[in-house]
Amino acid sequence: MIGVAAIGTYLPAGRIDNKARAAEAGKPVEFVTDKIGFHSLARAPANQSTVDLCVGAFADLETQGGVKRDEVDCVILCTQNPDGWGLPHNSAVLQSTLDLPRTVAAFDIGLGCSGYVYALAVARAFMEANGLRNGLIFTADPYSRIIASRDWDTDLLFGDGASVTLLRERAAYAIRPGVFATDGRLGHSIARKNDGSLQMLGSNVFKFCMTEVPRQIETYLASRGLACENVDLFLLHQGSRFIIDNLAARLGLPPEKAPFAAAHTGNLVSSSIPFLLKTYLADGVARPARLLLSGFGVGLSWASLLLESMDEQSRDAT
Amino acid sequence: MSKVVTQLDKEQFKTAVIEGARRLRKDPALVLADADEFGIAGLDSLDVMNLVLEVESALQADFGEINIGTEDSIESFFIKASRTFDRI
Repeated sequence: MIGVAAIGTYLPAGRIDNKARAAEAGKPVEFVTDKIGFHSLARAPANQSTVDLCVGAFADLETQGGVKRDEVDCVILCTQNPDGWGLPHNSAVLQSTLDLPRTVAAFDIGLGCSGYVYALAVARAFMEANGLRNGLIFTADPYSRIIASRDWDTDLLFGDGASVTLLRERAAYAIRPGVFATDGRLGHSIARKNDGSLQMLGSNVFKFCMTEVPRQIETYLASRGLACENVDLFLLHQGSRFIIDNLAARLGLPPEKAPFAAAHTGNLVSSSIPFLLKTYLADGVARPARLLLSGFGVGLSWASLLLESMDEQSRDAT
Repeated sequence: MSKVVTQLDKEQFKTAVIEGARRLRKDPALVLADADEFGIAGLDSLDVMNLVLEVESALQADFGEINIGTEDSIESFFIKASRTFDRI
């Protein structure tokens, strides 16, 4: 069974100090640090491309060992901000840049904050159906390219970063079948305006997050004969501290079961979950047996699935 | 299945807003007059998003897409919420 083996991440060196901008945004510093939760935002320079960010993440993965370029046979890139307007698809650019074999299957997925969960499910199914053995899921969505400066509905939230997840057999975590949902009627809630800049209708997004997402998670767990107490950790898209705290409350979770760990990166869109997941793949870290991943955002789109430790021999393969 | 309201009673609405604001502010003595701006009452823009959900839950209502800010009050919130039902 194809599962999650390792994760590499990359953050550009630049940071925007949100605390220093609080007054300009008309907000108390505590609002920025304690409610939104993003003390600073990772920011890529204008000349650093989406592919560059991915290459940085791959370099981190290589330092961990376990990935051999000549054995990679699948590359998936999740982004809605590709270089060159996505033509050619940036996963093909990555194949060339990383000098991966020409036998690689490479394609992009155009999703935002739900993208990582979708990509895990797509990659597992695609790889298993076609006998592929070593896959890479990249995520990179530098929203700084599309945020209008001083649009305080978005300019205090998003950071730039990238991740790459190595998928293969006999991995750390098995990927269980997930659930997926879309409501395109509310697509304008997170969208690009005619001038190309990002628009976010916060009240729509918050309502969606507080109603549809917990409903999906609880229904999904029930469908697998589980409840929230049977999950060791909830890795929720790091939209903001406010979102995480309120989602945890609605799911009846203690704060430690739904961590917020993006205070110094910002909302990394499809990279936020793999950044969090990486923590639990590190050597010497106690590995939670069952993780629930839930991504939600642009679309509107939301998706959840379970990862289960392959160490847990008592659990059935699905 | 729970009943979903299709029109608003202003007194019930006002009670739901005040009780919701008290929960969010963790202040059971919070006073909120009809014209008081939510921001003046200590609610920030994120609290107000939560307040909308509190009121919807209390009234078993769905206001759909509604934009309430710190500059709004019970009065203006009621007007905006009522428009939701005008569209039904």
